[in-house]
Amino acid sequence: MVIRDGQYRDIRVEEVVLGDLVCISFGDKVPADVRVIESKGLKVDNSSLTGESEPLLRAPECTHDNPLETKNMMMFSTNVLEGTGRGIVIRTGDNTVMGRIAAITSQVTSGPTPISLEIRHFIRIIGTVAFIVASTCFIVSMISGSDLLSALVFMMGIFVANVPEGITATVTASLTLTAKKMRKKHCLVKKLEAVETLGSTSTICSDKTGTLTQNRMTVAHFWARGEIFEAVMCGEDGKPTGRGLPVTGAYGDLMRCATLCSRSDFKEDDTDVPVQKRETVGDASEAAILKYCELVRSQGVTPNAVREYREGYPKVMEQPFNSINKYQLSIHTGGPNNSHILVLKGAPERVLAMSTTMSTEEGPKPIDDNIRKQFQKAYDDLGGMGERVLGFAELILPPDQFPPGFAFDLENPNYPTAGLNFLGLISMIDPPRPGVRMAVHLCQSAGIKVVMVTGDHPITAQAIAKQVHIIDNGIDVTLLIDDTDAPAGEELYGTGRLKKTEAIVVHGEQLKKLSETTLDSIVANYHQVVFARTSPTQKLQIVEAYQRNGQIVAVTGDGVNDAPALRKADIGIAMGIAGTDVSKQAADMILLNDNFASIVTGVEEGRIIFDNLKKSIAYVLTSNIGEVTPFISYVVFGLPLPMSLMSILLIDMGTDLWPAISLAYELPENDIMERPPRDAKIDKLVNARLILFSYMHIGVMQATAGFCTYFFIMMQNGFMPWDLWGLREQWDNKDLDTVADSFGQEWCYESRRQLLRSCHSGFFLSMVMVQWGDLFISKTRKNSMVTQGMNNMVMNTGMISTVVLSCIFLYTPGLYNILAQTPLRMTTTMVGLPFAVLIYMYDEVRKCIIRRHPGGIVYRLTNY
Amino acid sequence: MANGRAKKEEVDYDHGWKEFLYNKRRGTCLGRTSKSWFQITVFYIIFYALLAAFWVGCLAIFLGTLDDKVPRFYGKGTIIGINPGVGYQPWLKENPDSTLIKFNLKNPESWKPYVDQLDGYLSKYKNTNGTRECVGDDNNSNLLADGSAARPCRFSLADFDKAGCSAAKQYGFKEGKPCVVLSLNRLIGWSPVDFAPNSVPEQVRDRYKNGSIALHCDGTTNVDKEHIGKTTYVPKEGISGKFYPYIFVDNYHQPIAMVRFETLPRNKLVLVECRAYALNIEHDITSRLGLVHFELFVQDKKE
Repeated sequence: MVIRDGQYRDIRVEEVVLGDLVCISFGDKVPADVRVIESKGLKVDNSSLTGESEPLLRAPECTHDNPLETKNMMMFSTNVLEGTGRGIVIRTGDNTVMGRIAAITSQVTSGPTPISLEIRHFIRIIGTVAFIVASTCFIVSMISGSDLLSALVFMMGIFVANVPEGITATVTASLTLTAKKMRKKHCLVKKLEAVETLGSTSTICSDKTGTLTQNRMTVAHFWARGEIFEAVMCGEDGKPTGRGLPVTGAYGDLMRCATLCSRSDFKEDDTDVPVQKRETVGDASEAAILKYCELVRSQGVTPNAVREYREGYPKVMEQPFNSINKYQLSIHTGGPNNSHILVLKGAPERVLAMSTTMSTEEGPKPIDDNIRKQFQKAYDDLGGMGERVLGFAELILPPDQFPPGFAFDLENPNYPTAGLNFLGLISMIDPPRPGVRMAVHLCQSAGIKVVMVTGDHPITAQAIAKQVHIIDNGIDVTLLIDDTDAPAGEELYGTGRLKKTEAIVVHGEQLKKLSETTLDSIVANYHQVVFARTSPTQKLQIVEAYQRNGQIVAVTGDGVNDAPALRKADIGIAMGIAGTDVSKQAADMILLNDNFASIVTGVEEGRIIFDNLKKSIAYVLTSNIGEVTPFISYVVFGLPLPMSLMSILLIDMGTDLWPAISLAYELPENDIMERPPRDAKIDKLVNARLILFSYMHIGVMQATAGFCTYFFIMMQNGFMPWDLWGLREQWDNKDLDTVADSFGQEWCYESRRQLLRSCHSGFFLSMVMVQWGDLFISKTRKNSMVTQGMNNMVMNTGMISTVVLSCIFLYTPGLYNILAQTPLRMTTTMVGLPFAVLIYMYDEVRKCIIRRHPGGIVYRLTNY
Repeated sequence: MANGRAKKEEVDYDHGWKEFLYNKRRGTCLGRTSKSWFQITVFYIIFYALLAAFWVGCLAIFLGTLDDKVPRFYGKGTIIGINPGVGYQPWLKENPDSTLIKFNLKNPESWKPYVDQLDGYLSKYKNTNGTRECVGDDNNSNLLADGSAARPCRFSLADFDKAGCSAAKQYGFKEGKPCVVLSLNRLIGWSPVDFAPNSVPEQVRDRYKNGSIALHCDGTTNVDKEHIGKTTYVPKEGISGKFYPYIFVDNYHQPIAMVRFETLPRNKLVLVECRAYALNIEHDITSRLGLVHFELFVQDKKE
């Protein structure tokens, strides 16, 4: 509804242009950025923009330079909750605040994910290694006189042996698997790789409203009888928790006032739902009080206690809240001696000023300085806890002046608004979600910095931060919240305003004035940081500052204002229930239950992925040495080829595949959430230590096992190891049928080929066997396998599968001819076993030393 | 619990390749200090020494389970089997991929390598240490039971000398009538089994003698069969059976026979296939058991 050219018109939102005068009433969505010129109790919900959970009053006065702060602006796409008003359209479409956020969101990208960087790094390393080894072998074999073709074949063989074929499958399997697991824990993963990113996260920038808190105002404290009491809370089962005061005396009066002086009510009779979750009409504070009253009155037993109580005091008249009076009052019948009761609530100092007495246990007492002091202290205390405080007062109207049926007039007040009896204060807060505190603690013990970035006020933010232990209690906090001008130039930690403390609270207005270096200094030096009153671009700025600091940043948020930061973050996490569609679109992951605690699971899962990938790569790489050394020995020492290309393929693409993938299913080690997040610069997925350990330790052991089998078979058939040196040329000569063994027997080519085949099979089988040992040790990086257990059923079946597969390869008639294998005797198959045991024992000792001496030389050399 | 207070150790990186190679600031070369390099070297030396010891130990244990006279697997049902292949000499080690015997009658240098090779091959028969004269029915069949006292039968080259295949005559190469040595692969435990009198193969019927392994050479293809001409076998009945079975002893004399190609065509390549005949020798073209292929090429043109 707009007024254009002096005429009322009903037009569609798209057709609204600059300069239109729009008429807005409650229930509308603001069609553009509008400057308010006329307001009647106009309240808007800006929570999607700023994260403030309370409705905000809009009025024509300009109160601030910042359009998001000032009271005379209504933003495009926000909801009008109450009142009516008029305003002039000053921005439309993409030019609105909301439109600009959308534009920023679409512009920023977070760049490649850590895991894809790691994989790229891994490919580069393994490519280089494979290329160097293969080309060296090629050159050596060319020098030693092989023809080009067979040298090329060997080069390809070595190349194939070096490339871990199963790794792509493993990566995909572990990512998909985890995404599925996370889905069960109410995390929807939009981008597969995001799962791992969460594991490498070192900083979580969390929005407050709706993520850390419930986004539901709740009565936290009340002040009556001169004391602050903690309010009873609603437990998960709908029963009150904690001990409540008996609803009598001064407290009873306070509760009567709180129950009656309200325009709020429950929407439906859904009494089977816990009180906290019931839907209400009216604004957040009123709903909070209503729920509290219901809780106190019903004690979780009698439903609809408030409604029944109110029926005893029918409402005669009410004066709604307005910004000039700063209170609301209503008059009810049902007082003692058929009198009327006037109940009133509003801004505490205002209500106190209207009162002359105060209700105590000994009846009303006149308000003196002492009481005023007490009041001020309570008010400051509650406010300091970030709570929103309301004052309550009542007056029992004398029945002789106001007999039953008296006509109260709202326009020309014919009732007293002074000399009231002050009852007390009720304070409310948007409390932290249950479990958030634990989750934050878990994150912190996992070395992850949790930073609060909110659009809410610094005091509220700080209070919540303290409650969930983002800021420790009793710690010195540097406050950067005054609206003073920052000193010119850069500030450094420990100088000027940046005091040497652990914690800091930064106001958005200040953030705007800080130089980039100052922000970097804040980000790098304070461990407990709260950013309050931040704008969407500032959230982005904060994320970028942390990323500059080398952190991997996760951002959680639900509002439109979070979208750019969500997009920029290494991993953006949106809220599934409270989240706006824009934020969900920008995010990589969605918490379906809006619970911050799910992030901890995510972090754990992400770390498991990284760990398991490491293990899988270590497992797969190890067999390369056993696969390459036969070729090297063939070329360099002239041994008849101990292992064929085919056998290599059977290992890499056959028996190794399932176990490698099964490592993705491996359970976490017990220290996974106790170590700091990895440093993206040095803690690579594949590092020199992993390659060295896999190749030079376990790989060499595996190769010795293979050669042992090879020589064993050769010995059994008459070729002693010392006679095999340099035998290659005679052995490979197709026309030579008289190659003598160590016993003087002469072998024709066909028999030699058969013998070599069984050597290949033997080498293959012993590799399979030592890979068993390797699989056992790859299960853990630090723990003993005894503590880790054998609960990974995928792996256990994988182990059996390797045996079954090798039996099929070696013993299926027809197939073994195609695969160039031969059936082996039982004794031959057992040669690899002592080596498998050796590998296992060796690694258990190594891990034991690592556990005993973390950071020692063994750790530095071999911990991958 | 402090928020992320668990500080990481300060890590100093190598910046770029140059610093990786040698970092003056940290005194590292290839990312390690000299002390670290020393430690790592010592570690690997000890590690590999122990590993090698384990490996050698395993092999030694396996070795200990073996007999030093016979391999674990030989004879029927093993890879080497019981069907011997046939070998020929002179086969030049210098040219291992070729089975061609090619020489020019006008050029003594051209057959010298073959003569040298045969000289070398036959020289082992000149060593008669530890052997005995086997006359009449005396043979090697009890050798295995004799154990370390075994004295294998002595093989004499006298027959070859008589037939014109002596070293002095340069094994017939000079005349263009080359003698080629044929042998059966040594297989422990293998002895020839005689044919029944009426089932002796046609090719060797005229010269077959019980207890021996008769030999027959012919052209591989029909064209070669026309060209090959007359062949003489020395001794006539082939390889003598009294030297079987083979056992692993010092100076075992492997029995051989020679075939002399009397009328080889000049300047023509002849593909020859020689087969050995006994009841327990099967001929298999693909695995080349019981037979051998080689080529002869005699030139007489001036080069």
